[in-house]
Amino acid sequence: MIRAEWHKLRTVRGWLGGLIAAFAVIIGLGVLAAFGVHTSCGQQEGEACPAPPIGPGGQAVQDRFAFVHQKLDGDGTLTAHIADFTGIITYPPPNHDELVPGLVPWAKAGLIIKDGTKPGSAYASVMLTGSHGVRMQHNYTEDKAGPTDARWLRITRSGNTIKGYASSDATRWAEIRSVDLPGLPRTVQIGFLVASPANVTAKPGPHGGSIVQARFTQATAVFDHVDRTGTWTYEKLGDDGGMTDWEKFHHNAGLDQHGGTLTISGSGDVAPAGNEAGATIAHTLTGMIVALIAVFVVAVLFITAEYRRDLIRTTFTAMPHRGRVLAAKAAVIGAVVFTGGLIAAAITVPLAVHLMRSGGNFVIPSSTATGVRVVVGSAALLALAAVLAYAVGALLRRGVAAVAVAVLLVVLPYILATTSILPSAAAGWLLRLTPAAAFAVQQALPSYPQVNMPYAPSDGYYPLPAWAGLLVLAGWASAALALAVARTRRADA
Amino acid sequence: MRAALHAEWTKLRTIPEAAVFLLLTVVLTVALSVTAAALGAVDRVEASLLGVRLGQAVVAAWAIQLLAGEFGTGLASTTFIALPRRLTVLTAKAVLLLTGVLAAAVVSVTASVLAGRILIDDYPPLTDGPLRAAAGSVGYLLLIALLGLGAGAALRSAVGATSIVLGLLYLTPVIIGMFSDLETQHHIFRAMPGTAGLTVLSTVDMGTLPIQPLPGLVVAATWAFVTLGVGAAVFCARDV
Repeated sequence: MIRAEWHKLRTVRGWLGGLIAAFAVIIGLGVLAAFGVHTSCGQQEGEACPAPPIGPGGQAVQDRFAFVHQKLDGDGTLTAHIADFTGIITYPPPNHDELVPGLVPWAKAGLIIKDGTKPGSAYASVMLTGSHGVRMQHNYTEDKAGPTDARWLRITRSGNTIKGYASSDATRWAEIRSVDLPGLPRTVQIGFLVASPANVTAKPGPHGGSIVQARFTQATAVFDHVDRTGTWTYEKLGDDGGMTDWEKFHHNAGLDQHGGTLTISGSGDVAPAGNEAGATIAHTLTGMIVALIAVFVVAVLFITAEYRRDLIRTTFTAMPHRGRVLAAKAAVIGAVVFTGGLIAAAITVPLAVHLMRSGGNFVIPSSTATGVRVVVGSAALLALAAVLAYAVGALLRRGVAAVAVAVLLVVLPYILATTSILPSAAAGWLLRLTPAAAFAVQQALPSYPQVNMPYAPSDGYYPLPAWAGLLVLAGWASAALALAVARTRRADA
Repeated sequence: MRAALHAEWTKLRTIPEAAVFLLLTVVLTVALSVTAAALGAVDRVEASLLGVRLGQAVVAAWAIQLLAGEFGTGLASTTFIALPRRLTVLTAKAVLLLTGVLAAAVVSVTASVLAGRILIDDYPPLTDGPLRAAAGSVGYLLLIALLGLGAGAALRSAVGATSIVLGLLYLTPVIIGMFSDLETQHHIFRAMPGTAGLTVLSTVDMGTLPIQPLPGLVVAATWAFVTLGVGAAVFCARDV
C-alpha cells in the first residue's frame, strides 16, 4: 500500500518537482541569509565586531567585572564579610531622568576562583546578588541558590574541587555546592568579584516586536574580615576601553583599600551571552517557512487531486480499507518530506554558518547536540506540517481551502507572534497552542533564569521546549488525520 | 455584459462556496480584531483592526477559487462556449468579486472598529485615525481580491496560486528578518504588497514607518493591477 502511494507521488512530475524546489529553497535562502548578515562595528564600514569570549562549555559568554585578585598556588581558601552592597541605576523608567540608587536583581558581589584573567576562562564563585540571595555560580551557565540572608562568604579549593559556603554569623557555615573544574592548573587567581549587569526593560514597539533598552548600572561592595593577606590587584576584566559618563565624572570602577577593608566598584556580568551577541545557527533556517508553503501545495494536492481526478475510487477499489489508505498516504508524504528536509537542513546549516563566518561575522557557537536537534527538528517540523496540510486536504477535499487553512494554522501564528503588534504574552500563547509551537525546535540558545533578559518570541526565544513544540504540532496533525479518516469512512468518495 | 454578470451570479448563488468564504472573512477578521483589542497594544487602532491580517487570506483564497476553480473542474470550457468574449467573463467575475469583498470588508471593518471603541480605553476619536485606517483596510482588501483574481487567472492552478499569494502576503517579514542591514529591510518592506499595504493600519509613530499608508496602498495597487493585467492576458490568450 505504501509502495503504491510512493509510486503515485514519485511519478507526478509537478509534485516531485515541487518538493525538490522546496528543498532547494531551504538551501538557497540559507545562503541568502548568510550573505544578508553584515555586522560592522566602529566608524568604518566592514570593521569586524569584537567577538564575545567563549566559555569552557563552548558557549559565547559575558565575562566583564571588577576582579580583585591574587595568586593562589595549590589549595587554599578565602573568607570575607560583605559589610555593604549598594549601587546606582542610570536613568531607569518611567521618566528616564534620574540616577537612582539601587541594585539590579542580578548585581553580584562575592568571592571567586578563576583560571587566570583571560575573559572566558573557567571559574567558580560564591556571591551575594541584588535580590536573589547568595548563589554559587560556575562556568557561566551554572547557578545554584544558597541562603538568602547570609553576608559571610567562603570559597575553598582542593585540587579541581571548589566549594562555596555561606553564613549569617561566621560560625555556622552552610555548603552551597561543590563543583569540579576539570583541568584547573595548579596556579589560579583567587579574590573578589563585583559585577552589575545592565538594567534591561522591554516595551512593545509601535509597529510590532519589542523595544529593548539597556541602561548602565554600577555596584559597590565593601568586603571586610578578609582572611587572606598579601597584595590585591585590581583589574577591569573584559574591559572594552569605553567609559560611561557616570564612570568619568561620578565614580569610577576600581578598588579602594583601607587596612583590611576593600571597597570594590564594578559593572558588567559573568553569564552566558544571549543572541544579542550575534547570529545563531537557526538564522540560516529562517527561509524554511517559505519552503513550508511549497510543501503544503504538494501535500494537499497529493490527496485532493485524487478526488478531482476520481482516482480515489480506483484507489479505494484496489484497497478498500480507507483508513489505512489515508494513513499510508500520510506516512509516504511525511517520510518523503522528512528525508528531503533533513538533507536540505543538514546542508544548509553548516554551509551558511561557514559563509557567515568567512564573511567576518560572529556566529554564536552551538554544541553538536544543539545543531543536530535544530536540523532534525526542522525536518520533523516540515514533515509533521506536511501531514497536517495533507490531512486538512483529505478533510476538506478542496485544494485552495486546504492550503489556506494550513497557512493560517502554521504560518500566520508564527508571523503574528514574531512580527506583529500582539503583546509578547499573547505571542507566547500562540506559540504554545497553535501548530506554530513547533518552531521551538529552531531555538538555538537556551534562556537562563539567572540572566535578566526579555527572552521574547520576536528575539527567537520560544515558550515551549523543542520536544513539546513538536508534540503540539504532532497533536494537531493526528487530530486532523483522525477527522479525515472519520469523514472518509462515512462519506462517499 | 449583463448576460455574463447573470451567468456568473447564477454560478455563485447556486453553490455555498461564496457565502462560506465571505462569512469566514467576516468571522475571522472580527475574531482576531476583538482578541487583539482585548489584549491591547501601543497602537490601539491597529490592534482593533488586526484581524485584517487574517481576513486577507480568506479574501485572496476566494478570489483565486472563483477564477481558477473553474479550470480545475473543467467548467471553464463550458463558460467559454457560452460566453466566448473572455474579457467580459473576467470583468463580470471581477465585478461580483469586488461587490462581495466590499460587503464583507465593510461589515468586518466596521464591527472591528466598533468593538475596539467598546473594548479599548481611550480609543482615539473616529476622525483621528480609526476612520482612515478602516477605509484603508477596505481598500486594501479589495486590492488583495484583485491580486488573487489576477494570480488565479495567470497561474490557473488554484492551489499553486493560493500558496504564492499567501506566501507573498505573509512571508515578507521573514525575508526581511534575513537581512541585518536596515536599508535593505526598508527596501523590501516598501516593495511588497503585504507590508507596504498594511501600513494603512498604523496610526502611531508614523515617522518610523518605511512607507506611509497612501504610498503603501499605491504599492499594493500596483501589484494588484500588474498581476491582473498579466492574468487577463493569459486568460484571454491561452487554451482552456
